[in-house]
Amino acid sequence: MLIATLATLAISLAQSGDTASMTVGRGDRFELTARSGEITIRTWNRNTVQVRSERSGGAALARRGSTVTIRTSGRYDAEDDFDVTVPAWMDLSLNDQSGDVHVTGSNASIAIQSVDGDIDVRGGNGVITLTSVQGGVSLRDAQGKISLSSVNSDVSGSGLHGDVMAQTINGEITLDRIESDNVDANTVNGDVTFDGPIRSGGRYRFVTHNGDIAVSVQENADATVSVSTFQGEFEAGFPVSISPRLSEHDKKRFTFTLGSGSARIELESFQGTMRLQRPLGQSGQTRSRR
Amino acid sequence: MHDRWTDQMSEYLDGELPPHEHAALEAHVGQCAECARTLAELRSVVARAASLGDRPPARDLWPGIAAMLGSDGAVTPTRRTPPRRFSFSVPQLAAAAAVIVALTGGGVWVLRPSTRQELPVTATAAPAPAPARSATVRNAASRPTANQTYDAAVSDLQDVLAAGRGRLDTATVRIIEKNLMTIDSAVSAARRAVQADPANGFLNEYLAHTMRRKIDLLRQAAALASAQS
Repeated sequence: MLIATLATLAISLAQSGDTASMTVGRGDRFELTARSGEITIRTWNRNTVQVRSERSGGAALARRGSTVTIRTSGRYDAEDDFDVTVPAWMDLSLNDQSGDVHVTGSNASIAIQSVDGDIDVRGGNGVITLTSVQGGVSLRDAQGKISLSSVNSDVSGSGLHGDVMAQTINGEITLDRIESDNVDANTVNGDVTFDGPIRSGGRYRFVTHNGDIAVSVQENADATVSVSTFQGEFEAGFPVSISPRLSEHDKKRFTFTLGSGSARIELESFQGTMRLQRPLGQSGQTRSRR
Repeated sequence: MHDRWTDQMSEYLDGELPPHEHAALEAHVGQCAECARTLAELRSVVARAASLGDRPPARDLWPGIAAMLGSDGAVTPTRRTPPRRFSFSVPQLAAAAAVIVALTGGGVWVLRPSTRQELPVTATAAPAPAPARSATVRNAASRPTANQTYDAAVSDLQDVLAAGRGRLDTATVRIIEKNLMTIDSAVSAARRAVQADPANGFLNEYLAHTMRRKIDLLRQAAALASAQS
């Protein structure tokens, strides 16, 4: 049905060999669903989408409304790799059931889903949602409302600006050079690491079950820190004044304040170590509480 | 979870917060996505509970309740039924919210509408004015616990997944099962911890959070299977 629709609405293409191109305009978006093989998206400053495919007979582009996609004239072969170049402003929606997805240089919203491939994205601006079941998820140098999700691998973000949500089940979460006042990172079986300025009024939540949490806090941070654990421990790489809740039931849950306390940092590890530390280049004493 | 605010949400929903705290909570909720989500979930809990209706019980339960409460008859139940009030502890709210989110947040349920478990309501055999307190106790007794509703949700999602697992490749199924086991292990650990320390707010919230992760994964897996059809 989809194929028939696309074929009907397909707009003529400048096609040569295994390369096809189409002129596009602002508001258009690129969408691709692949069953297997790698998807590689690059960007340029031309208002043209160009696709190269290893498919025998070449590749074709089609338009359905404002959506540009690859026309499928037959079934996908087992290892169809797609190499696509799009304008940097073009929103992307990519779905690869069995293959890695790479995107570089985008300045637009990005939605990627993969079942068993890795997702590696550099760039992005807007709503960015990267989801893989088996593969790892990595995003660098992006801004916007960011959601990074895996089930069975690591999740990493670096150089991100905006709301950041990162989650996995069996994997580590590493967030580095994050400029955000809203961060939520949670895993079940893995460590969580965060490095970035704690902004006044911001909210930062880090959760793991079987893992450690390490969070960098700059010297002038204003934050109320909540620590919750069952069998874990807490350490700070600088002096902190802890005012524990002394009830018998909540000995493993306490809060303390840094500066004015306007930001909120929540650390939860069922049985791991939670550590606050200064960013690289800053240091202090260690005080621990178990 | 923002304890300061969640601790006030029950009173807020009941309209019992002092004006300045009411305004402060609303201001905070306007800026805090998580608290806004929590409040919305709790509002759903209350709305769902309220939708059960105040049907009178089949028989007057008050004498038995009074006996269980140790009443010597000095307590006289009023005939006037006040507005229903649903107060929960934070752990109860957290658990209930997790279940409500699980039951209302995803499209998987629409796949099997016929299997959706309805909250049981005591049938009315003979209309009779009911003491206000008896209605409250009756509803609390007849409503499934959060754990029961969670187990039902998990069971239904697992059925959906089982029906669709043939459409997923074996590696994906293996990965999903492995991760379900990881979460099950975490849920079991949290449950044991809650059993050992039932009043621990963190443990109750943590258990609810972990249960929600399992339902999220089941929902994701079921959606994957559906997408393959």
